[in-house]
Amino acid sequence: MRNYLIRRSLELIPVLFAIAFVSFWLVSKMGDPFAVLVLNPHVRPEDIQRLRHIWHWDDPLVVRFWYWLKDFVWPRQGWGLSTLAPGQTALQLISRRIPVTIAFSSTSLIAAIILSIPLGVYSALRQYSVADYILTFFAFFGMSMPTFWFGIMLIYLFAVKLHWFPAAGYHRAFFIIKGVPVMFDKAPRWMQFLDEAWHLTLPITVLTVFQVGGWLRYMRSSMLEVKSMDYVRTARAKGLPERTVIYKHAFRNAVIPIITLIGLSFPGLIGGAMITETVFAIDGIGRLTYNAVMSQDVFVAMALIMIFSILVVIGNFLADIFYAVADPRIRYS
Amino acid sequence: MANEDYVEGGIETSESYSYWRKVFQRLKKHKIAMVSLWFLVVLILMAVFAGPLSFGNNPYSYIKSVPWAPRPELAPPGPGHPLGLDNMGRDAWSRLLYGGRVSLAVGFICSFIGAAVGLFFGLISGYFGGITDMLIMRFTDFMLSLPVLPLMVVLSSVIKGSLWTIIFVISIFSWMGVARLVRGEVLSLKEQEFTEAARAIGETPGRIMWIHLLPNSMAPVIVAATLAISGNIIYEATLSFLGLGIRQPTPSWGNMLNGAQTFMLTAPWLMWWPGIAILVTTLAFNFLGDGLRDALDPRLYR
Repeated sequence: MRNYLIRRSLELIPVLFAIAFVSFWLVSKMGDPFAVLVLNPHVRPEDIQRLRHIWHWDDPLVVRFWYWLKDFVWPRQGWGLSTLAPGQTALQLISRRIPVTIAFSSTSLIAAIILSIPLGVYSALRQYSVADYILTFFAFFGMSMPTFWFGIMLIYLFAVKLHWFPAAGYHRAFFIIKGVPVMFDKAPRWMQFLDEAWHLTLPITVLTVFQVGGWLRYMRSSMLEVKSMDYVRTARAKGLPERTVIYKHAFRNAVIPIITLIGLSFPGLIGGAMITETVFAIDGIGRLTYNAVMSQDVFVAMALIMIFSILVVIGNFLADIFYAVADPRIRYS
Repeated sequence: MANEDYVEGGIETSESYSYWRKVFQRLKKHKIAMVSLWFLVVLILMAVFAGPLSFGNNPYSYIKSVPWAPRPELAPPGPGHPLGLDNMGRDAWSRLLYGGRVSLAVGFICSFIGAAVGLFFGLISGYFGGITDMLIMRFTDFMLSLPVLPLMVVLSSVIKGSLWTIIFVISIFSWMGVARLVRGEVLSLKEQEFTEAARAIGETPGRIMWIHLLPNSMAPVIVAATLAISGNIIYEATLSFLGLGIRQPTPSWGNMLNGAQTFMLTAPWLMWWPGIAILVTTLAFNFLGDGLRDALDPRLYR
């Protein structure tokens, strides 16, 4: 097992390297990160030349890539200057925006797991019942719904018509406490938390529904498959109570592929978060990616694509490892 | 030689004919899948006959004035314009029809390309094994460990352009599933007697793959390709919604929603229909794919 872990983690390095190169090449096709500086009257042409030289932008692609990668791994120059937010480095910009995305996408990931696994099991145990049909329909609905449109519809219904939830953003600028305006950062923690929860309810709903559908179907079919296995029949024949048979013998085996699936669903989660953030105007790294691409902020886009790739690769890695740990039939040497 | 081919071909078609008839009979019992199938047929016909169905309007022209609204831009539904006019004063109903043409075409073509490329890589990888297999599967794994949507956004901003650009961008990321599926099928098929027999009478690898392995691994590919259509339609809609897919003035269901959020308060009807169109279409393809899976899966065959 230990050898497998080591081998598998060593395999990650060339994959990440390849991803880094491809995405660097692709993003640098977007435009010249220093071209915008020409428009700024406060920046002298010599300074632009100097910056270009520091980033080796006057060298061939491979050299340029090498220096960029070095800075990405060990950020001495902060992953490059952002043109979207002048005066900030990509690292500053991203690190300020990353917590929101992590908070809201991990909440919806957990919500999706908590919802889809029990509902999938329930659906399988009562196959062809009314509840099963309703859940199946709901699952297909979730799988087929275009995320961005679902977001827009929720905004229309719950924000514009009913005024239950805010339409955009992830917190208010200030609170009014006893008639005195208090900036968000200065307000008590619990008020901050409640306000953020209130703002993020709709986005989390959108992202959760997007994930639940597929997993619910998968859990259902996995459970159905396991239910008809010989060892489940044996467990029943031994006279074990139905609860034990279902939860100890069937469920444990049925849930293994789902957990792997969750590890593999990171690309979808990232894409979903990107759309949700864009629709709900949440200043996380998903919306930042979109804005960076639209305004040709090359360094920010590169760093973000790299971060997303690392997340996806880690997700795949964890899925593999988990599968190896959970399923004793799989022996790796 | 020609005669031999004829006999061989004749047997195969009659066999596959009865197989597909059985599949269709099983599919017919799947009510939701059949409803979806008929719905999709109607939808495709509507897209094909978009011209005659749009009441003499066309999706590109600016309508100078309508009697029931002070300005033609964002005018509500009325006679001759069942879905109103969009922010540029164009008929929304005819844009919906023509947009369906674009969205369905992107869905079908990307899915077809994805299936074809996936079949190609899967067949080669599974049949030859060894270093070829390792290289192709490493490449597939590599493609699977990319953040798809951010890269699609970057790609479509780099190669701005036409319908074919967007088809290219989506197709790049839609073949990996099929490749893995086909490889798995081929790995088990190539150990079976009929492949061995074909090899024994000296058929070339290309011919074995084309005549024997391809038809036999088709079933899961059809299911995957049907399900992929809905995914591709959503990708196209998402990119167009973000302003990176199909560009104005060409309508697509996605780019009709591009400005919808801005007009949410003044013209909410504009954002309903394209979204509903996307939803019911993807829903239908998903149901059809699910029905096909049940119909094609020999393990469920009773």
